[in-house]
Amino acid sequence: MTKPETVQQFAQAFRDGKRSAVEIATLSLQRIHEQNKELGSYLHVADERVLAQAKGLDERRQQGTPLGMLAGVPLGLKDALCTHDMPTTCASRILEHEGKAWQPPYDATVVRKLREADALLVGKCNMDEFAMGSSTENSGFFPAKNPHDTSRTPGGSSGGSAVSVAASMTPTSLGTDTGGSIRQPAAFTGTVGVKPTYGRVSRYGLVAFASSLDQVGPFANDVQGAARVLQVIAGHDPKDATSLNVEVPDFIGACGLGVQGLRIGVPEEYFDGLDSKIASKLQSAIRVLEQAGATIHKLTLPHTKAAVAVYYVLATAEASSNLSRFDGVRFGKRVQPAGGDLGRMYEATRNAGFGSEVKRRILLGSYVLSAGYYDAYYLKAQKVRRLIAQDFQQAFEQVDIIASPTTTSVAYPLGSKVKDPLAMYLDDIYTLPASLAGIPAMSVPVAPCEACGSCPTLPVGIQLTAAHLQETQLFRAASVVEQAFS
Amino acid sequence: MNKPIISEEQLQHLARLAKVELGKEERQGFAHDLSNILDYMKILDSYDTENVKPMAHVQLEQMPLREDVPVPSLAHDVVFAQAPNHDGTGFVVPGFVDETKVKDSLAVVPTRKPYDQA
Repeated sequence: MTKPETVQQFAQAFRDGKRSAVEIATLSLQRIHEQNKELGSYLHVADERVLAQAKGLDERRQQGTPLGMLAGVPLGLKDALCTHDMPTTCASRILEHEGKAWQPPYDATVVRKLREADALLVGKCNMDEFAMGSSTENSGFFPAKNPHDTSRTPGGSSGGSAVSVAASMTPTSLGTDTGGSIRQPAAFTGTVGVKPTYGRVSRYGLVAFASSLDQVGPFANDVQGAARVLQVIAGHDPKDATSLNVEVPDFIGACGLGVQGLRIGVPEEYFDGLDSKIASKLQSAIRVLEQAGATIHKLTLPHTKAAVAVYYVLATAEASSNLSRFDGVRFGKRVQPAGGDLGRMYEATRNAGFGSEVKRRILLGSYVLSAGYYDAYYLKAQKVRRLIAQDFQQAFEQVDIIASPTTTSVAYPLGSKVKDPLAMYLDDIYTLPASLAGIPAMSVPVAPCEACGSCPTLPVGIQLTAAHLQETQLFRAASVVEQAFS
Repeated sequence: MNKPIISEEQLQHLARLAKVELGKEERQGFAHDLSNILDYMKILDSYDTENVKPMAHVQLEQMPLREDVPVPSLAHDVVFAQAPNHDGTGFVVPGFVDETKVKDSLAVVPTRKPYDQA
């Protein structure tokens, strides 16, 4: 198989006049249409709009008008990001009314920045409904499938965005990560996925799931491509009160810095009981980093085991509040039973619009916030959250990077976990702690897990985690891992 | 787990509070699922959080308030463009007060005008 073209290669080919933007957009659309029926990656493909955008770009290049950093680069957007000229559904039926999907009156800030950088926005990617799930099976429309084995999940919730990159529909895409929704699908599909520091990227126009945890980030088929897209979308935004007003460092430049002298911590809690095949792939990646000049240090993050309980208390509590806006009053679906009052309209609308996992989480969130249980669950979880964050603070006094598995297993068969929500939640154990601490983390492919029995060769990801705002350290280490295994 | 933490009746009550309607299958399944999940969450009790401050957010101290300067919002026609039902001045919804009981108090509610004409 030939290596897929990267973000830089697309950008360079367009800039040098070797390929027109229309050619590139056509190629991307063709790859999407050929595969989407089987892989379920896109909910909306914007053929006309991207071809018109590409035509405009070709004209600008001919005229010698300055071009954006992502000119000629096709990119898919997770359907949780608002787009004024494309539907936005969050893969939920509640954002469509009488067969027509909601189209936001404004762009998310990240979408605006991508347009300004001249990225070719090809469409909206499939996801778990409102980003609630880890397999994209909770999409209100259809599940996404893993291109490495279509009987398996690509992960979730940003499964469609991961598939777009893994199946070479686009070299990059945007996802969102609340508890691992970029990193886990990146690991399952053999792509690079970055969850930036909380506050690094604006959340304005991202449909909120759990506001204290949600963060937008890139997928790409190489580390530098992810760095390039993050370079474009990062930065302060007055429209997001949680957006950090800090300088954006040179992520792209960091990719070439190597890891000489970098201190890499390996937390014992993340390897305890880990599948031995995955553990051995990670050990070889850690050896690669050591041979490239990094030093390896054992460390402990003692509150790791609490992460699942903390996350599913806090995220569902925040979701139960955030999702109250879907009530059939201002936009999206409305179901109005004859003779029913406003309350009946709310209930009937939300029953028709929300899938089971969304309802389950709203109820769980309402329970942990309700009188009598608030202290025992919600407040307690907030306190343990601080203990988890302190684990990292202490660890980053000794090391620059933490290396760990991204997932507990390789991509699993569709349908194997969706009936047991708790089992699916427990699988998020390695990605949740960084989310709760608000620190940056990314997943990079290492050597794949060889075929065994009915299981084909499947990708494995290493998760690299850094201190608050230290994404450049991630890109340094990720590039070294990539060179060894790609 | 011996006794489910949430009974079907409690679940129904919770669903009413959260304005979520449940199908028959969901009623039975959710009581079991939520009990299972809440049972797992008891793991939190094993952590000593005496003197630990709750952490609602990772960077509250880094979020300064902005200047209170008015900026334009979305225009009326844009806001109403995709509303399921509206009358050009507000969103139209089914009644939620019994008008026969609150006739007097309703009489003092002025007719609403569009904000941009008010």
